[in-house]
Amino acid sequence: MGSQNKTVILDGAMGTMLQRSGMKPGQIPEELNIDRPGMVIDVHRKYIAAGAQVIYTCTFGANRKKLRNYVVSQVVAKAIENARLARGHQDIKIALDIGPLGEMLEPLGTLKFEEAYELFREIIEAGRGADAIVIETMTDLYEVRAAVLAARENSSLPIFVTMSFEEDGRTFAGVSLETFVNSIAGLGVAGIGINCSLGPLQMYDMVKKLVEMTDLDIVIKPNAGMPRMDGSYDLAAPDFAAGMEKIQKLGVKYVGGCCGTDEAYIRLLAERVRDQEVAPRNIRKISGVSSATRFLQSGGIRVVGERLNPTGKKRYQQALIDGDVSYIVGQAVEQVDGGADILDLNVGFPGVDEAGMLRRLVKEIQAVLDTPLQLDSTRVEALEAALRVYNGRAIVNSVNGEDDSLEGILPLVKKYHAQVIGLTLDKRGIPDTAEERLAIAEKIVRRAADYGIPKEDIYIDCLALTVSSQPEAAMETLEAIRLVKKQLGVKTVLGVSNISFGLPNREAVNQSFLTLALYEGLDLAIINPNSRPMMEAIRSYKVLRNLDGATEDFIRCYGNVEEKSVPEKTEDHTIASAVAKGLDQVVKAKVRQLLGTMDELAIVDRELVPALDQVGRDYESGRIFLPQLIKAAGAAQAGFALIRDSISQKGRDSISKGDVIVATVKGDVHDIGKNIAKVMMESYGYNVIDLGKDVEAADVVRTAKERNIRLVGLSALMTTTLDNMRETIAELKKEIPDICIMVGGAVLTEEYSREIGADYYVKDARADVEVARKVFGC
Amino acid sequence: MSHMNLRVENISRSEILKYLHYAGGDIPADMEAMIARATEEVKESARAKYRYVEKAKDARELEDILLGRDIELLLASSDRVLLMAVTLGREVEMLIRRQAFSNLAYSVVLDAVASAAVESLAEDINRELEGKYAPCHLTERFSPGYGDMPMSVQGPLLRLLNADKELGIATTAGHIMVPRKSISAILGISRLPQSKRVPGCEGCRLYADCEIRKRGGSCGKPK
Repeated sequence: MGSQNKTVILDGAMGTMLQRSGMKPGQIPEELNIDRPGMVIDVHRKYIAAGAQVIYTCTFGANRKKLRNYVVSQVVAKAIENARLARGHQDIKIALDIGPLGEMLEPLGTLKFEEAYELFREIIEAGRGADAIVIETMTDLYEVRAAVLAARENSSLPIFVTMSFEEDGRTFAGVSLETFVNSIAGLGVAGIGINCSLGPLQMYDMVKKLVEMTDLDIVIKPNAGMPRMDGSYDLAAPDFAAGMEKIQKLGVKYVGGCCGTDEAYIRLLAERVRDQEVAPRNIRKISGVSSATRFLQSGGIRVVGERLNPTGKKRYQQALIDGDVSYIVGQAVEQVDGGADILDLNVGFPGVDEAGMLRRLVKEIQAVLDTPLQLDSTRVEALEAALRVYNGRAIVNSVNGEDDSLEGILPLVKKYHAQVIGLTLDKRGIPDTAEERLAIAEKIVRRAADYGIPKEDIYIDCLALTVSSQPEAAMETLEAIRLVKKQLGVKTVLGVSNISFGLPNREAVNQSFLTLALYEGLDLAIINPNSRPMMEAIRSYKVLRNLDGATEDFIRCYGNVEEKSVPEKTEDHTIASAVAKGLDQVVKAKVRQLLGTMDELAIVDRELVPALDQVGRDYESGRIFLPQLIKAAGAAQAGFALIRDSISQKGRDSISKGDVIVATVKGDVHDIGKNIAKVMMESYGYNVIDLGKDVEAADVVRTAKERNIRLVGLSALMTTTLDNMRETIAELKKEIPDICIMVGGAVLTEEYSREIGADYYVKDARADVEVARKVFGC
Repeated sequence: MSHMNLRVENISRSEILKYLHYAGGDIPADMEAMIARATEEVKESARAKYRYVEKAKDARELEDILLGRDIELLLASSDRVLLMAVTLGREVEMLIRRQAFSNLAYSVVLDAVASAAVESLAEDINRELEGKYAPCHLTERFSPGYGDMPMSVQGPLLRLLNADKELGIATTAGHIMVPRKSISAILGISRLPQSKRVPGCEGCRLYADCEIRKRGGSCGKPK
């Protein structure tokens, strides 16, 4: 929009002007396009007369969630027509204005990413007659991504995106300028910027940062200052224009006004800066991996957690097969607590729908952690499914030197603006020498460049081979890292643990190899962050290299060990007292001792269960708190895990007392009660299948059928979702007439649970155990 | 109209204990430690904001908000009303969510502390408004979902406060406020003194999820 390198004037607020023209309270502004077109056209004309060169259509909230009396296509078409009428034959561009949907997206809300995409698509398809698309006033990066993808895939118009930041430099959703730019600037948009929330003065420092971060055109549309008590804004038009001139001088191409600005503001702004040269910018583009709220600039040493990978991990494999998301997310959290900066995520295992599972886990993990992800697959459809729903900028792990791999995956990396790992292998396998690996790396870098993927976004993996079978392998890998760094100027990545395969004391070997690789310039170390020696190697290397903050980090991690409390002594406790106090280590030690002398089932029946029962009675009588009950259950569960292992080692059947599904019903995002019920039942030895929160009735029914389930627990915390609970119960009873259903949640009562067809009402955290006992008879 | 950032300073301890279903007796050291840690973490991670607007009771935009007999009774002697909303922000939400995967017991404590924190903030704002509107009196706070007021009032109420843009509060399709640790409410401004808190469970804001009441008991406090 607009001629090269001249400052372009955007319009001012639409809502402010409509209110002054007599828009009634409660009126949906977008519907005025149809009800009172003259009012909307008049606003456009005033802005054009004031000097605006781009006008935004009156479609900010023209989506299916907000419109009441008309459908989206009607309103959008009429809005564009109104803008055209106002424009006449003048050289004015019309921008299709798209604001937030007004409903919270997952994970905090219940609106799915895919639904958001469809809502935006509807607007964009109806708005093809505009000259550009502006997505503005956004606070949620996920919503921005849905809107941008919908715009790119359903229109060829240039796309401009602006988000609203608070004075602390973050949006309400915690998005920073860095995470915004890193994720969106490369997503095929023409311009990027900031609007609303603040005035030009509060925005100045942010704009100064922004103009350096990206080479895209910048769009700035602030409010008329900050709001006052009476709802007006504190900057008069001349002060606004003066503030905006300073902003324009930073190299901003598109300038206009948001809430509180009118034609007077735009006129004074146009008088000062219209058609002036856009000032040159000192651009130092940022590049790295990011989530919605955390950005990691490429170039530092980063720990990539390796444990979300089925190779050699039985428990993880089982979790993938069972769809046991909470175990997997728990593993993710544990790695981040251990020190992972990035998490590798691999779900490739026979019998697992890789695309579906990768997409699901991306959503589940980013709902809990702000740690960026490295999506580990060689299947195009799995990578695409995951990249689409990833909220930020991911690393794709990986391509190799084969044409098929490069041609299949690099276009995805480009489209979704990811970074990519290139493995130095091809159909011949992994070359023996460093020079041959360099040659493959060169090919990968060249082919990436053909797709428009710059060197900064590539990590080369020189691959570690097992040193016990190939004694020269370690040094060859290190040499390859050195060559690749020096000759290609790319970043490197390495899965370190392979090196020691087949050797005793593997961690010692891994640790030494890691230090050597870091010295050769390794950037991303794929390791187990819960291995103490590996993290010690990383942290001490950073200290020795005198990296920023390394010493502080080292002292923080290792400086206060003496302050840690003395561990409880096993001999001071019985199983009952250890369970009661929630001491999982002591419970485990006790169980281990007993396993030598007692039958597994006897330990459960005579020790763990009575201990838990006592805690349960204490809870019911109000002697202990809910968190203590949960801790006790967790400790008993730890003992149970040992007993299970012991039984499976002896090749006997598992001792699960029965399978139970738990789920929080569709529409409800409060899942604490469900989580507690799960822990309680698990502590008593029931196998709990946790379907999560906001679960469709059909998913509950399908899982119940597949797994021959006899007992289902449903929770809902809000009155508004009780209907969904009723519906889920009805579906279950229809499909599986003899199934037992227990329900719990704040707003439920015994009476109401009967009314909606449940078999049992669970009044508190422990009542579910009593129901399970009745249903399974044990 | 006013809106601003808030710092979470004081979180009522009795409120925290109530959310944890405390029924009297000793509080063990590990519980005390969890509560202390959770209090610090909630204070640190909160990005609290609030906003209120004053309207005439018969203003047209209140037509789809002042629904039900209960609010009519509450506002019987008021001709002006205040609408307010306060939120702890999303960060606290994420904190609770993350801990649910690594330390569920602690997550429950965080949840209780956060609930108490937003409640304490609402109380602070209430007090401030009482000062501001003296010598007039304010009625009790009344929220969508109380008594016979439908939850669907949440949307129009938040829209009037411009809560999505100014506070970052949105709703789900089921009218649940997100971030969850948010309170929205209506208060009447009256020349007449207002009776505070209806004694007994029915007038209590914890009525719906009170474990003590569900067990057939009562905390005995006039809430």
